Amino acid sequence: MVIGFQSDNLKPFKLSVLIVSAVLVLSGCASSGSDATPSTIVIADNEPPQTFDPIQAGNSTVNAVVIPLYDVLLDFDANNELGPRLAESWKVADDGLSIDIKLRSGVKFHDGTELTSADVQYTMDRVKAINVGVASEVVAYKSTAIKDDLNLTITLSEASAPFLSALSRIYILNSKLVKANEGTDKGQKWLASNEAGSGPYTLKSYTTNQEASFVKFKDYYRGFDGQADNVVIRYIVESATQRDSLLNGDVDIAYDVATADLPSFDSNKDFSVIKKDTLVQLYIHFNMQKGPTTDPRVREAIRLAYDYDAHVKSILQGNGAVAKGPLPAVMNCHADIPAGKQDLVKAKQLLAAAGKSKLKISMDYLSVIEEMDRAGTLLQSALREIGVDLTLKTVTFPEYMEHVKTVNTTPDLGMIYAFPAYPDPHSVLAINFDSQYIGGGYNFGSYKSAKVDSLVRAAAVATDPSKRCDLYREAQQVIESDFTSINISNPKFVVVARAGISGDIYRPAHHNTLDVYNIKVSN
Amino acid sequence: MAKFVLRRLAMVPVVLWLVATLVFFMIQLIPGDPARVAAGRNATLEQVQAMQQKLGLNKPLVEQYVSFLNQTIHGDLGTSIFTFRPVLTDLGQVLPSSFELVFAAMLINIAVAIPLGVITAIFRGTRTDFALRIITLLGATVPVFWLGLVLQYLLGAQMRIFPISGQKPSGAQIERITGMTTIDALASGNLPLFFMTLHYIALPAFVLSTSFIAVSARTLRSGMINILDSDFITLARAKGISNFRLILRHALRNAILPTFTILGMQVGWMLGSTVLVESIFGRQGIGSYATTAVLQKDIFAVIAVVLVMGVVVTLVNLLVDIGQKLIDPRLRISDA
Amino acid sequence: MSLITGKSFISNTFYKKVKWLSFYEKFIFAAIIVILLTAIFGGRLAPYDPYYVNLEDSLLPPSSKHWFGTDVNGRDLFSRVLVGASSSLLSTLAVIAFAAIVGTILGTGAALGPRWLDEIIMRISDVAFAFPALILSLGFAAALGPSLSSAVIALALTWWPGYARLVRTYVIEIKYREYVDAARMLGVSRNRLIFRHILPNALINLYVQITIDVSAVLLVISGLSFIGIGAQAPSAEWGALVADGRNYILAGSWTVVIPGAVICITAVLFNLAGDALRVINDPTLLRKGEK
Repeated sequence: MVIGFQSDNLKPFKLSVLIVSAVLVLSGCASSGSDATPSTIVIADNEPPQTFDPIQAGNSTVNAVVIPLYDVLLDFDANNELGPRLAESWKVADDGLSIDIKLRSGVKFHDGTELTSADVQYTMDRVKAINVGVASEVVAYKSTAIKDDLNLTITLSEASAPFLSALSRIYILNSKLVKANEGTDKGQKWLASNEAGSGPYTLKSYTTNQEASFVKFKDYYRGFDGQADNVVIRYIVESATQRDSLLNGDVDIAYDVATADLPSFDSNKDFSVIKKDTLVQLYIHFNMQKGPTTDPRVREAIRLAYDYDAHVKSILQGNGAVAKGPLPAVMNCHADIPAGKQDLVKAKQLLAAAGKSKLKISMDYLSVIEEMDRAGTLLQSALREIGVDLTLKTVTFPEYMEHVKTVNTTPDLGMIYAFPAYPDPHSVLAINFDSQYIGGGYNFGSYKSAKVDSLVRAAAVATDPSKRCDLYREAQQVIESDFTSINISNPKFVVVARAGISGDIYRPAHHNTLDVYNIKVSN
Repeated sequence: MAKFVLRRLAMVPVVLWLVATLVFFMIQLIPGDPARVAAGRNATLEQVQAMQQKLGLNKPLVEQYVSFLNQTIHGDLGTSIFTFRPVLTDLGQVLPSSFELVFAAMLINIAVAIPLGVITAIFRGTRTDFALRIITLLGATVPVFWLGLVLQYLLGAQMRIFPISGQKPSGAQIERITGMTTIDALASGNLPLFFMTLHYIALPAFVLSTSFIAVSARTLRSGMINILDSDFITLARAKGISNFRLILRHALRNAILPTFTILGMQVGWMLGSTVLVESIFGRQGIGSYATTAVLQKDIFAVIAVVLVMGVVVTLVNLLVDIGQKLIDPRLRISDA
Repeated sequence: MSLITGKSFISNTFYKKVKWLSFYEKFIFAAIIVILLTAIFGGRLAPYDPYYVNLEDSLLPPSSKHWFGTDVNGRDLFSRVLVGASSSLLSTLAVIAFAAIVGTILGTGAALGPRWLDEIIMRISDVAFAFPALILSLGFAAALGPSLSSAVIALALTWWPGYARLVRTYVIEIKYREYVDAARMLGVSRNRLIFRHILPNALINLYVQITIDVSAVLLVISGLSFIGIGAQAPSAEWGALVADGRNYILAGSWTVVIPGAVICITAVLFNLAGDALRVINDPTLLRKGEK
């Protein structure tokens, strides 16, 4: 029998219960607050990465884990300045068709082997061959010629102004290691849960969907000065739990504290709320080729229904601004397009004119993100006012990418951010609106405009900056006049960190990630 | 007795087959192209076609069914489209944690329900009985997820008596032996760490147990009342046996059978309820794994959870049945 | 021994039992009826539009203007609770109805059919009974997509065994009653026997189980909506309401506390009602101190 009720005497049992509970309470007091070792940072994020393969670093959750593990040739800093990393120096040819790169010497991968041109060549060729994820940023890549271990030349199929910027998302792989584990899919399966990098941290462990643990790589070429020995990224889906873990000391930095809770952290001197300007824009992309949204009046009506001001005021609590057109407002070459404004009367008229007074549509969105969750509900309610029945469908980013692969599976509306990988209009206007990126890249609405295609492609190869700007401005006007998307907001990046965390931890070019190497801890 | 065990064991594969059939039926319900879904996010056309071959979707339904059963028996439950690992491996990682939680919750359940059942039976009709039964009623009808949230907030975030989420303090290293954090911590010899893991499991286990305590206590109470009214108790009292001994030795022992049965069923139901508790407290068990899998549309993972749950429940049922026979010899005679 | 047909038997005994209710019992039943009426008419009684987002009024505490306060989207919580009563309770009743029908068919079949049928049905019901309802619902949600209907289907599939067993017990008991023998001797056909005489007397006692089950099923359904695989946004189903408020417990605790309390109180009331009905049905239980 489970319970010792055989004997008459319950006293020893009762006594042991008392002792055990006393011990529990006492040990509870002892383990209050955070862990023992002071040089561990715990970061709370709400979505685990789909893979650790850097080829998917266009997805911010993957980028977040790849940043500590790998290096790039060139990278952006917190002020959007492009600077050298693995590439010590580089020279773009006059015709823009090739780039000579000199690598820094003495860089080691985590397994001890030296990083050489062969690794760069392997990485670039692999990206081109598999043609997913970051490949859409470097379509101009043709081949790499190796001169010696530290010198190489990248050849492009056409001049590409944004190419150098795009290199900030090409993380260099340890070619020997990946080749040994290539399998049948060029190492995608192996790299899903393994790393082959040279970055400041190595991957200690990854518990699926729960925790990724990193430890300092002693031989990192840039050296260390105040960084934590261990970094843990913990996946906590609920913002309430993230908030409570911050308060409790279990977590040091949290990405997803609800905006309603920010004021209490602002006034708490044990914490600091870090707000930074971003390159980000929140969109809703219409399905431009199928369904009721193919009618421009329907699109215009839906755009006019949304309460943009309330979005910034209530949902963002002022941390951001209403978007102005398809290009994020802070970028260069911004056209003169006004911010969106709600006009329910006109919206109803447009729908009536289109003969669609009772419309039924659905929207994919990442409801795990607070801004999207609340925007979705706000849009749903607003559309009800004009007679449109909106069904909200929660998806994950990989799922959404899957849905936009074919026009038939693309939703009527898709709410998604643009996280531009570099502060150049190409990263938005081409990547999201050029028809060559339909069905495999980031053209989420299957938007096909020959005019826009020619404009952005010309701008990509143009060498005169002002001419480029003219082309981009015109492209924006065309996209806008087609009512291609609902341009909602340019939100700020907000994280809550415990006091004592400092450094340039956010870089707009790598949105929704922290520059782990630059997180400095002071207790 | 042996005959009985063998007969019951023979039923196990039948039951598992039923569960597998139900699961196969569920897979057929999935809209869209299962091969596409199974091949994963970034599958190339060749990979999707390969998956179609593997799933045998071109073959007639009966053939698919047979190969499905075949694969399942061999433990091939498919590959998770998110972790890229066999689902069985993933499940192996997370199951021990749920077992640990259910075990802890069961301990609390038994430790609270048995005294509660006995006391309310003895003192039936009095104020104490009434008060205790109100409390247990509340325990049974309060929504588990709500209780978890509220207690987590009050006791965790506000009063800081318990940790918010997780199974161990972050940064703590526990070598994985069984997969159960408490056991592994104990096995590593690090006593303070062991107590800390107990601290982490305390609140989730308590929350999980509340709805079950009421039923167990009530079952025991009914059983005890029936027994206490019966003749042999009167006889025992006439013989002069002390009250205390009477209750424990005679009444409880005889009343325990239906309670034991209920407790056995509750193991399965508790495992199901981990779905609610684990995601609130950030514990990595089969419950949170299944929830994440559903929300990520990781079909194979969910199917595997249903299958494994079927296996576990059947085995527990079997053990309960055998245990019943062991406890009460009378049942051995009236064997169906 | 007079033949008692189904209908008059029901109204006779039930009325007799209802007459002797105490105040406590009358109160509980009145409360239940109020809740059921809310489930049916709740939407019309709501003072505000439960779905209209008004961000200006986000997270207002309970006041005379908003009895339950507002949620983060400025929607009146009292209105949402009223409308949510429909989702929560009607889906609960759907589960029970489905389970009761399936359970009755199978239970009757087990009781009246051949021995092997009885054995099979009982074995299946054992497994279904023990199988955690939540897990099966996850399976259906994965296959059919998360929705209130897939949750209802899944739950019904695990709930029927309770009814099958009950009906089987009742039918077996009635099978051997004298009036059934009498009817058979008189030449009443088997179908008529089953549907006119046996079943009504068996089913009449199900209302106790049904009432108690409302409590249990409500808790599971709201749980499923809470984790996101039952009712979908912007449904005001009570479990979904708790999920909505979850991230704002600091700034607006009422968004979590109130919906949860509503679920709890409803479950308690139905539970107590079920208990009361059980005693009304069989007053001998009182002697044993069940009350």
